[in-house]
Formats: sequence, structure tokens, C-alpha cells
Amino acid sequence: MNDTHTALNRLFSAARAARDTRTEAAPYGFASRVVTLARAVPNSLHASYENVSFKAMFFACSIAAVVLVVNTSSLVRLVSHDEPTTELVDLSLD
Amino acid sequence: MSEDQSFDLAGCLQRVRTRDQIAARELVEHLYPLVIRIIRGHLPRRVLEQDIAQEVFLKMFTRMDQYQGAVPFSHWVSRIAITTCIDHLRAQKRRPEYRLADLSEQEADLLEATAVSSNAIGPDDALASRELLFKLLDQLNPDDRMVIQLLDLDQNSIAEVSQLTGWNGSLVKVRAFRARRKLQKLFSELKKKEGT
Repeated sequence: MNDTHTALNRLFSAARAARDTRTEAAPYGFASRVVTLARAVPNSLHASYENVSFKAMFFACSIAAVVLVVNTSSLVRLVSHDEPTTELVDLSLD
Repeated sequence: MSEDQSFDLAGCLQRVRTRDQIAARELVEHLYPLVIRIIRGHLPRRVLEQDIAQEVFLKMFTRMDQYQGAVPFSHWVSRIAITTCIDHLRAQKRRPEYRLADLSEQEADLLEATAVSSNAIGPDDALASRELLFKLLDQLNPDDRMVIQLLDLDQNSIAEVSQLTGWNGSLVKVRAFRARRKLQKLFSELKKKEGT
């Protein structure tokens, strides 16, 4: 294991000597692109909020539709009967 | 970081906070060398470094309000870059097991040379050594790889690694100990394969 440790250390030392010759300057237009995207981030948050709101509205409408379907028979019965649902009470003093 | 010592970072940050686009562009151009060095140093060559750099800068801008000035701004950005690299390493699920046949002739010679002496590795072998080392590091999990690179390759102190990664000192030490053991095992296995 000690030999391995030494050999590995030699490999690390040699690797440290490697120099990256690639340019480190930002490519043309990179900064502008990033800044434009960064400014768009609040909009995308807005868009996702909008998306969630639409989903919530759709869900609420679905529930309302289901409730309507389930209670259709009661509603139809209610509409078809001519009898008044509430009794009129004469409150006059005469 | 950039060698441009005349850059007024504090003033630039203040202007960025007031949504000054020119200042934001200057900040990106100033920090790009720092960010790209971290990305190149910690991710394989096959990754699209500009895409990762863009991700780092977008995180920097969206989290700008969280920067309290407790550490230099460049350290804060370095930390974002390091954690972004770790996330990308985690996303690469495949951890290849290298065989001697996968190594180039120069890398195989290097593997042999490491057993002899430091003099056996010539100055021209630096790049090949780095490639060979990266092939070994590729087989570690992302956290182990990062700790080994930051400590043993970049020669940062425990405190610096702790600051860059957000891990506490004890965790860095324990992780480094385990990662070195794994790396030694992988290295000796590769050498055994070479011997057969």
C-alpha cells in the first residue's frame, strides 16, 4: 500500500505540472447572453405562477362540474315541480 | 481570479443591484476566468463548459440578494461553481471502470513510470498524467472526487475546502481519508491488471 501511495503522489505531482493553454476570457457575446437570461428569470417565475394558477382554476372548475352532475337529478326534480318550495305566510295585520 | 486588479468589484456589485446591465456584463467578464478554471479543473473535457458557466452565472444573479459580504465575492462565486460541478458529476450516473486497454500508450507507460521514481516521469508527461489521474477520479463518487481534487491536486487547505464546499472540517477530513483509500485501491488494481 505504501508503494501505491508513493506512486500515486508522483502521479499527482506530475498532473499538477500540466498547464491548460486554453483561453480564459469570456467568449464574445457570452456576458450579454447571461445578463439577458438573468433578467428573464423573474418573468419565468411569473410564468410558472401563472401556470399553477391556471391548473388550480381547472381543478376547481372540474370539482364544480362533478358536483353539478351528481346533483342534477335533485335540481331537475326541483325545477319540474310546480309547487312552491316555501310556503307564503301572510304577515299583514288585517 | 482575473488579473485585472483595477476592477472596482464593490462599485460594480452596487450597480448590479440597481439592475445596471452594463455593470452585470462587466461582472460576468471579470469573473469568467475564475469560473471557467474551476469548471475545467473539475469536470471532464467532454462537458460543455460554457453551458455550465452560464448556469453558474445565472445562479449568481438570482442569489445575489443572499450575498451578505461575509466572504469575498469571488469565494462566494467559487462556491456556487464548485457545487454546480458536484451537481453535474452526480448527474453523470455512469462511473466507468478502466482497464489497461482503455489507457493510451503514454498513459500506460506513465503508470509504469510512477512505480520507478519521480524522475521517470518527464515534464512532457504532465498532460497525460492529468488525463490518467482524471480517469481514476472518474471512478470515484462526486463528493470523493471533489475532495481529492481540491486537497491533493489543487492543494487547498482543509479550511479552504470547507469554505468552498460548505462541508465542515471533520467531514472534509473523513471524506478525504476514505476517498484516498478508494483511489489507492483503484490505482493498485489498475497496476495489477497492467502486470498480468
